[in-house]
Amino acid sequence: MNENIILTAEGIFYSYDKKNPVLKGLDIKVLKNEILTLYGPSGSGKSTLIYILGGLLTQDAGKILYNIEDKKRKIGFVFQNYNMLNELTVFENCKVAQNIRSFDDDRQIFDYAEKIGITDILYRYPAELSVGQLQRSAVLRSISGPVELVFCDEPTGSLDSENKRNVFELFSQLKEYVAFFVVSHDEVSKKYADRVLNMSDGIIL
Amino acid sequence: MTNKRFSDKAVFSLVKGFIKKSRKNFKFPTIAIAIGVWGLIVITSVVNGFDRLLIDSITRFYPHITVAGKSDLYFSGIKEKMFFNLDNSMVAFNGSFDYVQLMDCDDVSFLGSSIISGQLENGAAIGKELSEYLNISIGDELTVFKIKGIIPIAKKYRVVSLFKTGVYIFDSKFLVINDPDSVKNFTAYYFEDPLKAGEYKSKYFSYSPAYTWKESNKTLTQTVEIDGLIALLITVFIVLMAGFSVSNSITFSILTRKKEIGILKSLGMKNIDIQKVFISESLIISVIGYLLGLLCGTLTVTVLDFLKIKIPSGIFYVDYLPVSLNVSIAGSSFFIITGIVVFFSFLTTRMISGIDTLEALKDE
Ligand SMILES: Nc1ncnc2c1ncn2[C@@H]1O[C@H](COP(=O)(O)OP(=O)(O)OP(=O)(O)O)[C@@H](O)[C@H]1O
Ligand SMILES: [Mg+2]
Repeated sequence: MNENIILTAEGIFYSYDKKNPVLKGLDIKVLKNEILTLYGPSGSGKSTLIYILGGLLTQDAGKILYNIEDKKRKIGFVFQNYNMLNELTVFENCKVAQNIRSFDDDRQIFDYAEKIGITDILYRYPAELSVGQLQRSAVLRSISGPVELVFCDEPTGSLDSENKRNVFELFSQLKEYVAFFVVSHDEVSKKYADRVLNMSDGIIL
Repeated sequence: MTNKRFSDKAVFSLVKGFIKKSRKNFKFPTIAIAIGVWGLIVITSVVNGFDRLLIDSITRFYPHITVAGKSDLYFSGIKEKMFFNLDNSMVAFNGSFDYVQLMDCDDVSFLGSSIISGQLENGAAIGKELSEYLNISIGDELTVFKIKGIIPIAKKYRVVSLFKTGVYIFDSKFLVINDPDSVKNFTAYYFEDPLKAGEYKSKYFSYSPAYTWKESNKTLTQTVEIDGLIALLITVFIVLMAGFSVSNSITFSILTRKKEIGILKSLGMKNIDIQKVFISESLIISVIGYLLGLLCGTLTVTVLDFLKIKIPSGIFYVDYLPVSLNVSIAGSSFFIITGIVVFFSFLTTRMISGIDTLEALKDE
Protein backbone atom coordinates (compact mmCIF):
# COMPACT_ATOMS: atom_id res chain seq x y z
CA MET A 1 0.00 0.00 0.00
CA ASN A 2 1.10 3.52 -0.74
CA GLU A 3 2.79 5.10 2.29
CA ASN A 4 0.46 8.09 2.10
CA ILE A 5 -2.70 6.04 2.22
CA ILE A 6 -4.17 5.17 5.60
CA LEU A 7 -7.17 3.23 4.33
CA THR A 8 -8.51 1.82 1.09
CA ALA A 9 -11.88 0.23 0.57
CA GLU A 10 -13.00 -1.47 -2.62
CA GLY A 11 -16.35 -2.74 -3.78
CA ILE A 12 -18.13 -2.28 -0.47
CA PHE A 13 -21.65 -3.63 -0.36
CA TYR A 14 -23.90 -3.35 2.63
CA SER A 15 -27.57 -3.81 3.32
CA TYR A 16 -29.30 -3.67 6.72
CA ASP A 17 -32.16 -5.95 5.73
CA LYS A 18 -30.29 -8.15 3.25
CA LYS A 19 -32.65 -6.88 0.53
CA ASN A 20 -32.20 -3.18 -0.13
CA PRO A 21 -28.51 -2.32 -0.41
CA VAL A 22 -27.40 0.92 1.25
CA LEU A 23 -23.84 0.78 -0.08
CA LYS A 24 -23.54 -0.50 -3.62
CA GLY A 25 -20.00 -1.42 -4.53
CA LEU A 26 -18.38 1.67 -3.12
CA ASP A 27 -14.65 2.48 -3.53
CA ILE A 28 -12.82 4.98 -1.33
CA LYS A 29 -9.30 5.95 -0.22
CA VAL A 30 -8.33 7.99 2.81
CA LEU A 31 -4.91 9.62 2.86
CA LYS A 32 -2.68 10.32 5.80
CA ASN A 33 -2.46 13.99 6.78
CA GLU A 34 -5.72 14.96 5.15
CA ILE A 35 -9.13 16.26 6.05
CA LEU A 36 -11.51 14.43 3.78
CA THR A 37 -15.03 15.75 3.65
CA LEU A 38 -17.95 13.66 2.48
CA TYR A 39 -21.18 15.23 1.25
CA GLY A 40 -24.40 13.59 0.37
CA PRO A 41 -28.14 13.77 0.85
CA SER A 42 -29.80 12.39 3.91
CA GLY A 43 -30.19 8.64 3.68
CA SER A 44 -27.45 8.23 1.09
CA GLY A 45 -25.46 5.98 3.47
CA LYS A 46 -22.81 8.31 4.91
CA SER A 47 -23.12 7.14 8.51
CA THR A 48 -23.29 3.53 7.36
CA LEU A 49 -20.04 4.00 5.46
CA ILE A 50 -18.33 5.47 8.51
CA TYR A 51 -19.43 2.55 10.68
CA ILE A 52 -18.06 0.07 8.17
CA LEU A 53 -14.76 1.88 7.63
CA GLY A 54 -14.40 2.29 11.42
CA GLY A 55 -15.08 -1.37 12.08
CA LEU A 56 -18.41 -1.03 13.89
CA LEU A 57 -20.25 -2.80 11.08
CA THR A 58 -19.01 -5.53 8.76
CA GLN A 59 -19.57 -5.15 5.04
CA ASP A 60 -21.48 -7.83 3.11
CA ALA A 61 -18.89 -7.75 0.35
CA GLY A 62 -15.75 -5.81 -0.51
CA LYS A 63 -12.31 -5.33 0.95
CA ILE A 64 -10.89 -2.80 3.39
CA LEU A 65 -7.15 -2.38 4.00
CA TYR A 66 -5.71 -0.29 6.79
CA ASN A 67 -2.26 1.20 7.02
CA ILE A 68 -2.51 1.46 10.82
CA GLU A 69 -0.88 -0.67 13.48
CA ASP A 70 -3.09 -1.68 16.39
CA LYS A 71 -6.05 0.01 14.77
CA LYS A 72 -8.47 -0.53 17.64
CA ARG A 73 -6.53 2.01 19.68
CA LYS A 74 -5.95 4.39 16.80
CA ILE A 75 -9.45 5.04 15.45
CA GLY A 76 -11.77 7.65 16.92
CA PHE A 77 -15.42 8.51 16.30
CA VAL A 78 -17.56 11.60 16.63
CA PHE A 79 -21.13 10.35 16.42
CA GLN A 80 -24.07 12.28 15.09
CA ASN A 81 -25.66 12.04 18.54
CA TYR A 82 -22.41 12.60 20.52
CA ASN A 83 -22.66 9.46 22.68
CA MET A 84 -20.97 10.82 25.76
CA LEU A 85 -20.84 8.73 28.94
CA ASN A 86 -23.35 10.50 31.14
CA GLU A 87 -21.90 9.30 34.44
CA LEU A 88 -18.54 10.90 33.73
CA THR A 89 -17.49 14.51 33.31
CA VAL A 90 -16.16 15.66 29.94
CA PHE A 91 -12.63 15.38 31.28
CA GLU A 92 -13.25 11.85 32.61
CA ASN A 93 -14.81 10.88 29.28
CA CYS A 94 -11.61 11.92 27.53
CA LYS A 95 -9.44 10.34 30.19
CA VAL A 96 -11.25 7.01 29.89
CA ALA A 97 -10.89 7.21 26.11
CA GLN A 98 -7.15 7.82 26.53
CA ASN A 99 -6.79 4.94 28.98
CA ILE A 100 -8.71 2.57 26.76
CA ARG A 101 -6.28 3.58 24.01
CA SER A 102 -3.37 2.80 26.40
CA PHE A 103 -2.44 6.43 26.80
CA ASP A 104 -2.44 8.89 29.66
CA ASP A 105 -1.74 12.59 29.31
CA ASP A 106 -3.81 15.33 30.94
CA ARG A 107 -2.00 18.04 28.97
CA GLN A 108 -3.28 16.69 25.68
CA ILE A 109 -6.85 17.08 26.92
CA PHE A 110 -6.30 20.57 28.33
CA ASP A 111 -4.45 21.66 25.22
CA TYR A 112 -7.11 20.52 22.74
CA ALA A 113 -9.93 21.73 24.99
CA GLU A 114 -8.49 25.20 25.01
CA LYS A 115 -8.26 25.30 21.24
CA ILE A 116 -11.95 24.50 20.78
CA GLY A 117 -13.05 26.67 23.70
CA ILE A 118 -14.36 24.15 26.23
CA THR A 119 -11.82 24.47 29.03
CA ASP A 120 -14.48 25.85 31.36
CA ILE A 121 -16.82 22.88 30.93
CA LEU A 122 -14.28 20.07 31.32
CA TYR A 123 -15.54 19.15 34.78
CA ARG A 124 -19.20 19.23 33.92
CA TYR A 125 -21.41 16.25 33.22
CA PRO A 126 -22.88 15.84 29.71
CA ALA A 127 -26.40 16.50 31.02
CA GLU A 128 -25.29 20.00 32.03
CA LEU A 129 -24.10 20.96 28.55
CA SER A 130 -25.60 22.75 25.58
CA VAL A 131 -25.76 20.88 22.28
CA GLY A 132 -22.82 22.86 20.90
CA GLN A 133 -20.75 22.11 23.99
CA LEU A 134 -21.68 18.42 23.74
CA GLN A 135 -20.58 18.35 20.13
CA ARG A 136 -17.21 19.87 20.94
CA SER A 137 -16.81 17.48 23.91
CA ALA A 138 -17.41 14.58 21.55
CA VAL A 139 -14.77 15.98 19.19
CA LEU A 140 -12.35 16.34 22.10
CA ARG A 141 -12.90 12.75 23.19
CA SER A 142 -12.44 11.41 19.65
CA ILE A 143 -8.92 12.85 19.47
CA SER A 144 -7.90 11.99 23.06
CA GLY A 145 -5.12 9.44 22.89
CA PRO A 146 -2.82 8.27 20.12
CA VAL A 147 -5.49 8.29 17.39
CA GLU A 148 -4.47 8.29 13.74
CA LEU A 149 -7.83 8.20 12.00
CA VAL A 150 -10.96 9.98 13.17
CA PHE A 151 -14.42 9.56 11.67
CA CYS A 152 -16.66 12.53 12.31
CA ASP A 153 -20.37 12.35 11.60
CA GLU A 154 -21.60 15.95 11.36
CA PRO A 155 -19.19 17.16 14.05
CA THR A 156 -20.10 20.81 13.73
CA GLY A 157 -23.79 20.74 12.85
CA SER A 158 -24.86 22.55 16.01
CA LEU A 159 -22.06 25.08 16.21
CA ASP A 160 -21.96 28.74 15.31
CA SER A 161 -19.52 29.71 12.60
CA GLU A 162 -16.80 30.80 15.01
CA ASN A 163 -16.85 27.49 16.85
CA LYS A 164 -17.01 25.60 13.58
CA ARG A 165 -13.84 27.35 12.54
CA ASN A 166 -12.19 26.55 15.86
CA VAL A 167 -12.91 22.85 15.47
CA PHE A 168 -11.60 22.69 11.92
CA GLU A 169 -8.65 24.89 12.90
CA LEU A 170 -7.72 22.19 15.47
CA PHE A 171 -8.21 19.42 12.88
CA SER A 172 -5.85 21.28 10.54
CA GLN A 173 -3.23 21.54 13.27
CA LEU A 174 -3.55 17.84 14.08
CA LYS A 175 -3.60 16.50 10.55
CA GLU A 176 0.15 16.07 10.62
CA TYR A 177 -0.57 12.98 12.77
CA VAL A 178 -4.27 12.34 12.26
CA ALA A 179 -6.42 11.77 9.20
CA PHE A 180 -9.94 13.19 9.47
CA PHE A 181 -12.88 11.67 7.64
CA VAL A 182 -15.66 14.21 8.04
CA VAL A 183 -19.29 13.89 7.03
CA SER A 184 -20.61 17.40 6.77
CA HIS A 185 -22.91 19.75 4.92
CA ASP A 186 -21.06 22.82 6.10
CA GLU A 187 -19.49 25.47 3.89
CA VAL A 188 -16.82 25.89 6.60
CA SER A 189 -15.80 22.24 6.35
CA LYS A 190 -15.46 22.62 2.59
CA LYS A 191 -13.03 25.46 3.18
CA TYR A 192 -10.79 23.37 5.43
CA ALA A 193 -11.09 20.15 3.45
CA ASP A 194 -8.13 18.84 1.48
CA ARG A 195 -10.50 16.70 -0.54
CA VAL A 196 -14.23 16.73 -0.97
CA LEU A 197 -16.19 13.65 -2.02
CA ASN A 198 -19.83 13.37 -2.97
CA MET A 199 -21.95 10.43 -2.12
CA SER A 200 -25.25 9.53 -3.60
CA ASP A 201 -27.39 6.43 -3.37
CA GLY A 202 -24.69 4.18 -1.97
CA ILE A 203 -21.73 5.12 -4.11
CA ILE A 204 -19.08 7.85 -4.26
CA LEU A 205 -19.61 10.00 -7.30
CA MET B 1 2.64 1.86 32.16
CA THR B 2 1.58 -1.49 30.79
CA ASN B 3 -1.61 -1.85 28.77
CA LYS B 4 -3.26 -3.58 31.69
CA ARG B 5 -2.49 -0.67 34.00
CA PHE B 6 -4.17 1.68 31.51
CA SER B 7 -7.25 -0.46 31.11
CA ASP B 8 -7.53 -0.97 34.88
CA LYS B 9 -7.41 2.78 35.27
CA ALA B 10 -10.27 3.15 32.81
CA VAL B 11 -12.23 0.46 34.67
CA PHE B 12 -11.61 2.27 37.94
CA SER B 13 -12.79 5.66 36.59
CA LEU B 14 -15.91 4.07 35.14
CA VAL B 15 -16.79 2.25 38.36
CA LYS B 16 -16.23 5.43 40.36
CA GLY B 17 -18.38 7.46 37.98
CA PHE B 18 -21.17 4.93 37.84
CA ILE B 19 -21.32 4.61 41.62
CA LYS B 20 -21.27 8.36 42.11
CA LYS B 21 -23.99 9.05 39.59
CA SER B 22 -26.33 6.11 40.06
CA ARG B 23 -26.23 5.32 43.74
CA LYS B 24 -29.90 4.36 43.77
CA ASN B 25 -29.26 1.44 41.43
CA PHE B 26 -26.95 0.01 44.05
CA LYS B 27 -29.36 0.35 46.94
CA PHE B 28 -31.59 -2.64 46.30
CA PRO B 29 -28.98 -5.38 45.81
CA THR B 30 -26.90 -3.99 48.67
CA ILE B 31 -29.87 -4.16 51.02
CA ALA B 32 -30.77 -7.64 49.75
CA ILE B 33 -27.31 -8.92 50.66
CA ALA B 34 -27.32 -7.05 53.96
CA ILE B 35 -30.62 -8.65 54.96
CA GLY B 36 -29.36 -12.08 53.93
CA VAL B 37 -26.17 -11.73 55.96
CA TRP B 38 -28.11 -10.28 58.86
CA GLY B 39 -30.46 -13.26 58.91
CA LEU B 40 -27.57 -15.65 58.45
CA ILE B 41 -25.72 -14.24 61.44
CA VAL B 42 -28.74 -14.16 63.74
CA ILE B 43 -29.94 -17.66 62.84
CA THR B 44 -26.52 -19.29 63.05
CA SER B 45 -25.89 -17.47 66.33
CA VAL B 46 -29.07 -18.89 67.84
CA VAL B 47 -28.24 -22.38 66.57
CA ASN B 48 -24.72 -21.94 67.89
CA GLY B 49 -26.11 -20.67 71.20
CA PHE B 50 -28.22 -23.80 71.65
CA ASP B 51 -25.32 -26.03 70.70
CA ARG B 52 -22.84 -24.42 73.05
CA LEU B 53 -25.33 -24.49 75.88
CA LEU B 54 -26.07 -28.15 75.23
CA ILE B 55 -22.39 -29.05 75.16
CA ASP B 56 -21.84 -27.00 78.28
CA SER B 57 -24.74 -28.69 80.08
CA ILE B 58 -23.64 -32.19 79.11
CA THR B 59 -20.01 -31.69 80.04
CA ARG B 60 -20.83 -30.04 83.34
CA PHE B 61 -22.39 -33.31 84.46
CA TYR B 62 -21.23 -36.23 82.40
CA PRO B 63 -17.64 -37.54 82.68
CA HIS B 64 -15.57 -36.23 79.80
CA ILE B 65 -13.81 -39.55 79.52
CA THR B 66 -14.93 -42.77 81.15
CA VAL B 67 -12.27 -45.47 81.46
CA ALA B 68 -12.90 -49.08 82.46
CA GLY B 69 -11.13 -49.98 85.69
CA LYS B 70 -9.29 -47.78 88.12
CA SER B 71 -6.92 -45.55 86.21
CA ASP B 72 -4.06 -43.76 87.92
CA LEU B 73 -3.09 -41.79 84.85
CA TYR B 74 -2.54 -38.12 85.38
CA PHE B 75 -1.71 -35.40 82.85
CA SER B 76 -2.13 -31.66 82.62
CA GLY B 77 -5.54 -30.49 81.49
CA ILE B 78 -7.37 -32.66 84.02
CA LYS B 79 -9.74 -30.74 86.28
CA GLU B 80 -11.20 -33.59 88.31
CA LYS B 81 -10.97 -37.35 88.55
CA MET B 82 -13.21 -39.86 90.36
CA PHE B 83 -14.05 -43.55 90.49
CA PHE B 84 -17.62 -44.65 89.95
CA ASN B 85 -20.16 -47.26 88.92
CA LEU B 86 -23.09 -46.75 86.61
CA ASP B 87 -25.93 -49.26 86.97
CA ASN B 88 -29.49 -49.61 85.79
CA SER B 89 -31.63 -49.51 88.89
CA MET B 90 -35.15 -48.98 90.07
CA VAL B 91 -35.99 -46.25 92.51
CA ALA B 92 -39.17 -46.11 94.60
CA PHE B 93 -40.75 -43.58 96.90
CA ASN B 94 -44.22 -43.53 98.41
CA GLY B 95 -45.69 -45.92 95.84
CA SER B 96 -44.21 -44.25 92.72
CA PHE B 97 -41.19 -45.72 91.04
CA ASP B 98 -38.96 -45.20 88.02
CA TYR B 99 -36.00 -46.77 86.28
CA VAL B 100 -32.83 -44.71 86.66
CA GLN B 101 -29.09 -44.70 86.08
CA LEU B 102 -27.50 -45.05 89.47
CA MET B 103 -24.20 -43.20 89.53
CA ASP B 104 -22.23 -44.37 92.53
CA CYS B 105 -19.17 -42.12 92.93
CA ASP B 106 -16.35 -41.91 95.45
CA ASP B 107 -16.35 -38.14 95.01
CA VAL B 108 -19.42 -36.13 94.07
CA SER B 109 -17.80 -32.71 93.89
CA PHE B 110 -18.27 -32.65 90.08
CA LEU B 111 -21.96 -31.99 90.82
CA GLY B 112 -21.14 -28.76 92.63
CA SER B 113 -22.18 -26.27 89.97
CA SER B 114 -25.40 -28.14 89.15
CA ILE B 115 -26.83 -28.27 92.69
CA ILE B 116 -29.90 -26.08 93.00
CA SER B 117 -30.85 -26.89 96.60
CA GLY B 118 -29.52 -28.91 99.51
CA GLN B 119 -25.94 -29.84 100.27
CA LEU B 120 -23.36 -32.27 98.90
CA GLU B 121 -23.27 -34.59 101.90
CA ASN B 122 -23.75 -38.30 102.42
CA GLY B 123 -26.94 -39.43 100.77
CA ALA B 124 -28.51 -39.16 97.34
CA ALA B 125 -28.43 -36.26 94.87
CA ILE B 126 -31.45 -36.43 92.63
CA GLY B 127 -32.30 -34.69 89.39
CA LYS B 128 -34.93 -31.98 89.54
CA GLU B 129 -37.25 -33.68 87.03
CA LEU B 130 -36.97 -37.04 88.76
CA SER B 131 -37.76 -35.45 92.14
CA GLU B 132 -40.90 -33.90 90.67
CA TYR B 133 -41.92 -37.20 89.09
CA LEU B 134 -41.47 -39.09 92.35
CA ASN B 135 -42.83 -36.14 94.33
CA ILE B 136 -39.87 -36.35 96.68
CA SER B 137 -38.10 -33.55 98.57
CA ILE B 138 -34.88 -33.07 100.48
CA GLY B 139 -34.89 -35.07 103.68
CA ASP B 140 -37.13 -37.84 102.33
CA GLU B 141 -35.85 -41.37 102.09
CA LEU B 142 -36.03 -43.35 98.86
CA THR B 143 -35.39 -46.99 98.12
CA VAL B 144 -33.03 -48.17 95.39
CA PHE B 145 -33.29 -51.68 93.94
CA LYS B 146 -30.08 -52.79 92.29
CA ILE B 147 -30.62 -55.79 90.07
CA LYS B 148 -27.77 -58.21 90.66
CA GLY B 149 -28.47 -61.44 88.81
CA ILE B 150 -32.05 -62.30 89.57
CA ILE B 151 -32.15 -61.04 93.16
CA PRO B 152 -32.82 -57.35 93.61
CA ILE B 153 -30.90 -55.74 96.45
CA ALA B 154 -32.77 -52.92 98.16
CA LYS B 155 -31.01 -50.05 99.88
CA LYS B 156 -32.35 -46.83 101.39
CA TYR B 157 -30.86 -43.37 100.86
CA ARG B 158 -31.81 -39.99 102.22
CA VAL B 159 -32.21 -37.24 99.57
CA VAL B 160 -29.69 -34.51 100.42
CA SER B 161 -29.69 -32.35 97.31
CA LEU B 162 -31.40 -31.58 94.02
CA PHE B 163 -29.41 -30.93 90.85
CA LYS B 164 -30.35 -29.42 87.53
CA THR B 165 -27.99 -29.77 84.57
CA GLY B 166 -30.41 -28.41 81.99
CA VAL B 167 -30.25 -31.69 80.06
CA TYR B 168 -33.57 -33.44 80.48
CA ILE B 169 -32.23 -36.99 80.34
CA PHE B 170 -29.77 -36.29 83.18
CA ASP B 171 -32.30 -34.43 85.30
CA SER B 172 -34.97 -37.09 84.94
CA LYS B 173 -33.03 -40.35 84.90
CA PHE B 174 -29.96 -39.94 87.11
CA LEU B 175 -29.44 -40.57 90.78
CA VAL B 176 -26.02 -39.80 92.27
CA ILE B 177 -24.89 -41.50 95.45
CA ASN B 178 -21.67 -42.17 97.32
CA ASP B 179 -21.64 -45.70 98.69
CA PRO B 180 -18.40 -46.22 100.66
CA ASP B 181 -18.90 -49.99 100.67
CA SER B 182 -19.13 -50.59 96.92
CA VAL B 183 -16.23 -51.41 94.62
CA LYS B 184 -15.90 -48.89 91.79
CA ASN B 185 -15.27 -50.27 88.32
CA PHE B 186 -14.79 -47.10 86.26
CA THR B 187 -12.68 -43.96 86.29
CA ALA B 188 -14.16 -40.60 85.27
CA TYR B 189 -12.04 -37.72 84.04
CA TYR B 190 -13.19 -34.10 83.79
CA PHE B 191 -10.99 -31.71 81.79
CA GLU B 192 -10.45 -27.97 81.69
CA ASP B 193 -11.51 -28.08 78.05
CA PRO B 194 -14.09 -30.83 77.42
CA LEU B 195 -13.71 -30.40 73.65
CA LYS B 196 -10.24 -31.90 73.98
CA ALA B 197 -11.64 -35.23 75.21
CA GLY B 198 -11.22 -36.88 71.81
CA GLU B 199 -7.64 -35.71 71.56
CA TYR B 200 -6.81 -36.95 75.09
CA LYS B 201 -8.49 -40.24 74.39
CA SER B 202 -6.31 -41.05 71.42
CA LYS B 203 -3.25 -39.73 73.21
CA TYR B 204 -3.58 -41.37 76.64
CA PHE B 205 -6.31 -43.99 76.54
CA SER B 206 -5.85 -45.75 73.26
CA TYR B 207 -5.05 -49.08 74.95
CA SER B 208 -7.91 -49.20 77.44
CA PRO B 209 -11.65 -49.22 76.80
CA ALA B 210 -12.51 -45.52 77.12
CA TYR B 211 -15.46 -43.42 76.03
CA THR B 212 -15.63 -39.69 75.58
CA TRP B 213 -18.73 -37.74 76.61
CA LYS B 214 -19.53 -37.37 72.91
CA GLU B 215 -19.53 -41.14 72.37
CA SER B 216 -21.62 -41.78 75.48
CA ASN B 217 -24.23 -39.17 74.59
CA LYS B 218 -24.62 -39.81 70.88
CA THR B 219 -28.25 -38.75 70.65
CA LEU B 220 -27.46 -35.40 72.23
CA THR B 221 -24.27 -34.71 70.34
CA GLN B 222 -25.91 -35.71 67.10
CA THR B 223 -28.25 -32.78 67.65
CA VAL B 224 -25.21 -30.55 67.55
CA GLU B 225 -24.03 -32.13 64.34
CA ILE B 226 -27.47 -31.73 62.76
CA ASP B 227 -27.54 -28.12 63.94
CA GLY B 228 -24.20 -27.56 62.24
CA LEU B 229 -25.64 -29.03 59.08
CA ILE B 230 -28.67 -26.77 59.31
CA ALA B 231 -26.43 -23.73 59.77
CA LEU B 232 -24.46 -24.81 56.72
CA LEU B 233 -27.65 -25.27 54.69
CA ILE B 234 -28.90 -21.82 55.66
CA THR B 235 -25.54 -20.37 54.70
CA VAL B 236 -25.63 -22.10 51.33
CA PHE B 237 -29.13 -20.84 50.59
CA ILE B 238 -28.38 -17.30 51.66
CA VAL B 239 -25.17 -17.26 49.67
CA LEU B 240 -26.99 -18.55 46.59
CA MET B 241 -29.70 -15.97 47.13
CA ALA B 242 -27.07 -13.25 47.35
CA GLY B 243 -25.47 -14.55 44.16
CA PHE B 244 -28.76 -14.60 42.28
CA SER B 245 -29.80 -11.22 43.59
CA VAL B 246 -26.57 -9.64 42.45
CA SER B 247 -26.54 -11.38 39.11
CA ASN B 248 -30.12 -10.28 38.62
CA SER B 249 -29.25 -6.69 39.43
CA ILE B 250 -26.28 -6.90 37.07
CA THR B 251 -28.48 -8.15 34.25
CA PHE B 252 -30.77 -5.22 34.90
CA SER B 253 -27.82 -2.88 35.08
CA ILE B 254 -26.42 -4.17 31.78
CA LEU B 255 -29.77 -3.75 30.06
CA THR B 256 -30.27 -0.22 31.34
CA ARG B 257 -26.71 0.74 30.48
CA LYS B 258 -26.60 -0.78 27.04
CA LYS B 259 -25.77 2.56 25.53
CA GLU B 260 -22.73 3.04 27.79
CA ILE B 261 -21.58 -0.42 26.81
CA GLY B 262 -21.94 0.57 23.14
CA ILE B 263 -19.93 3.74 23.73
CA LEU B 264 -17.17 1.84 25.52
CA LYS B 265 -17.05 -0.68 22.71
CA SER B 266 -16.88 2.10 20.11
CA LEU B 267 -13.94 3.53 22.05
CA GLY B 268 -12.24 0.17 21.62
CA MET B 269 -12.63 -1.16 25.15
CA LYS B 270 -12.20 -4.92 25.38
CA ASN B 271 -15.19 -7.01 26.45
CA ILE B 272 -13.30 -8.41 29.41
CA ASP B 273 -12.57 -4.87 30.63
CA ILE B 274 -16.22 -3.86 30.30
CA GLN B 275 -17.05 -7.03 32.23
CA LYS B 276 -14.58 -5.92 34.89
CA VAL B 277 -16.53 -2.69 35.37
CA PHE B 278 -19.70 -4.60 36.18
CA ILE B 279 -17.95 -7.28 38.23
CA SER B 280 -16.22 -4.61 40.32
CA GLU B 281 -19.54 -2.94 40.94
CA SER B 282 -21.13 -6.14 42.16
CA LEU B 283 -18.10 -6.84 44.30
CA ILE B 284 -18.48 -3.44 45.92
CA ILE B 285 -22.19 -4.11 46.40
CA SER B 286 -21.53 -7.41 48.10
CA VAL B 287 -18.78 -6.07 50.36
CA ILE B 288 -20.90 -3.12 51.50
CA GLY B 289 -23.95 -5.38 51.86
CA TYR B 290 -21.93 -7.88 53.85
CA LEU B 291 -20.52 -5.23 56.20
CA LEU B 292 -23.98 -3.74 56.70
CA GLY B 293 -25.43 -7.19 57.43
CA LEU B 294 -22.55 -8.01 59.76
CA LEU B 295 -23.16 -4.81 61.68
CA CYS B 296 -26.91 -5.39 62.01
CA GLY B 297 -26.34 -9.08 62.80
CA THR B 298 -23.81 -8.58 65.59
CA LEU B 299 -25.93 -5.77 67.00
CA THR B 300 -28.99 -8.03 67.04
CA VAL B 301 -27.02 -10.87 68.61
CA THR B 302 -25.65 -8.56 71.30
CA VAL B 303 -29.14 -7.28 72.10
CA LEU B 304 -30.61 -10.82 72.17
CA ASP B 305 -27.80 -11.95 74.44
CA PHE B 306 -28.51 -9.03 76.76
CA LEU B 307 -32.31 -9.46 76.78
CA LYS B 308 -32.28 -13.26 77.34
CA ILE B 309 -35.70 -13.63 75.72
CA LYS B 310 -37.97 -16.17 77.42
CA ILE B 311 -38.89 -19.31 75.50
CA PRO B 312 -41.25 -22.07 76.71
CA SER B 313 -39.31 -24.36 79.04
CA GLY B 314 -39.67 -28.10 78.73
CA ILE B 315 -39.45 -28.07 74.96
CA PHE B 316 -35.85 -26.95 75.00
CA TYR B 317 -33.30 -27.50 77.70
CA VAL B 318 -33.19 -23.78 78.48
CA ASP B 319 -35.90 -21.27 79.26
CA TYR B 320 -34.26 -18.35 77.44
CA LEU B 321 -32.99 -17.93 73.90
CA PRO B 322 -29.26 -18.65 73.97
CA VAL B 323 -27.18 -16.80 71.38
CA SER B 324 -23.52 -17.02 70.59
CA LEU B 325 -22.00 -15.38 67.52
CA ASN B 326 -20.77 -18.05 65.14
CA VAL B 327 -17.54 -16.33 64.20
CA SER B 328 -16.33 -18.97 61.77
CA ILE B 329 -19.57 -18.88 59.75
CA ALA B 330 -19.71 -15.07 59.86
CA GLY B 331 -16.12 -14.88 58.65
CA SER B 332 -16.22 -17.59 56.03
CA SER B 333 -19.53 -16.36 54.63
CA PHE B 334 -17.71 -13.18 53.57
CA PHE B 335 -15.38 -15.10 51.31
CA ILE B 336 -18.11 -17.42 50.09
CA ILE B 337 -20.50 -14.56 49.28
CA THR B 338 -17.92 -12.41 47.50
CA GLY B 339 -16.62 -15.48 45.68
CA ILE B 340 -20.09 -16.51 44.55
CA VAL B 341 -20.96 -12.95 43.57
CA VAL B 342 -17.84 -12.62 41.43
CA PHE B 343 -18.53 -16.00 39.85
CA PHE B 344 -22.17 -15.17 39.07
CA SER B 345 -21.19 -11.71 37.86
CA PHE B 346 -18.63 -13.20 35.55
CA LEU B 347 -21.21 -15.58 34.08
CA THR B 348 -23.82 -12.86 33.74
CA THR B 349 -21.50 -10.28 32.20
CA ARG B 350 -20.45 -12.68 29.48
CA MET B 351 -23.56 -11.47 27.64
CA ILE B 352 -21.70 -8.18 27.09
CA SER B 353 -19.63 -9.71 24.34
CA GLY B 354 -22.84 -10.53 22.46
CA ILE B 355 -24.06 -6.93 22.49
CA ASP B 356 -23.79 -5.26 19.10
CA THR B 357 -22.03 -1.91 19.33
CA LEU B 358 -24.22 0.01 16.89
CA GLU B 359 -27.46 -1.39 18.23
CA ALA B 360 -26.37 -0.51 21.75
CA LEU B 361 -25.51 3.02 20.68
CA LYS B 362 -29.05 3.50 19.40
CA ASP B 363 -30.43 2.44 22.81
CA GLU B 364 -31.90 5.30 24.81
N1 LIG C 1 -30.25 0.25 11.65
C1 LIG C 1 -30.80 0.37 10.43
N2 LIG C 1 -31.68 -0.55 10.01
C2 LIG C 1 -32.24 -0.48 8.80
N3 LIG C 1 -32.01 0.51 7.95
C3 LIG C 1 -31.15 1.49 8.32
C4 LIG C 1 -30.53 1.47 9.58
N4 LIG C 1 -29.72 2.56 9.68
C5 LIG C 1 -29.86 3.22 8.53
N5 LIG C 1 -30.71 2.60 7.69
C6 LIG C 1 -31.07 3.01 6.35
O1 LIG C 1 -29.89 3.05 5.58
C7 LIG C 1 -29.90 4.17 4.73
C8 LIG C 1 -28.64 4.98 4.95
O2 LIG C 1 -28.66 5.49 6.27
P1 LIG C 1 -27.50 6.39 6.86
O3 LIG C 1 -27.79 6.65 8.27
O4 LIG C 1 -26.21 5.76 6.51
O5 LIG C 1 -27.68 7.73 5.98
P2 LIG C 1 -26.93 9.11 6.15
O6 LIG C 1 -26.36 9.40 4.82
O7 LIG C 1 -26.04 9.08 7.29
O8 LIG C 1 -28.16 10.09 6.44
P3 LIG C 1 -28.17 11.42 7.34
O9 LIG C 1 -27.52 12.46 6.57
O10 LIG C 1 -29.63 11.69 7.53
O11 LIG C 1 -27.49 11.08 8.62
C9 LIG C 1 -31.18 4.92 5.02
O12 LIG C 1 -32.11 4.62 4.01
C10 LIG C 1 -31.64 4.39 6.32
O13 LIG C 1 -33.04 4.38 6.38
MG1 LIG D 1 -25.96 9.98 9.17
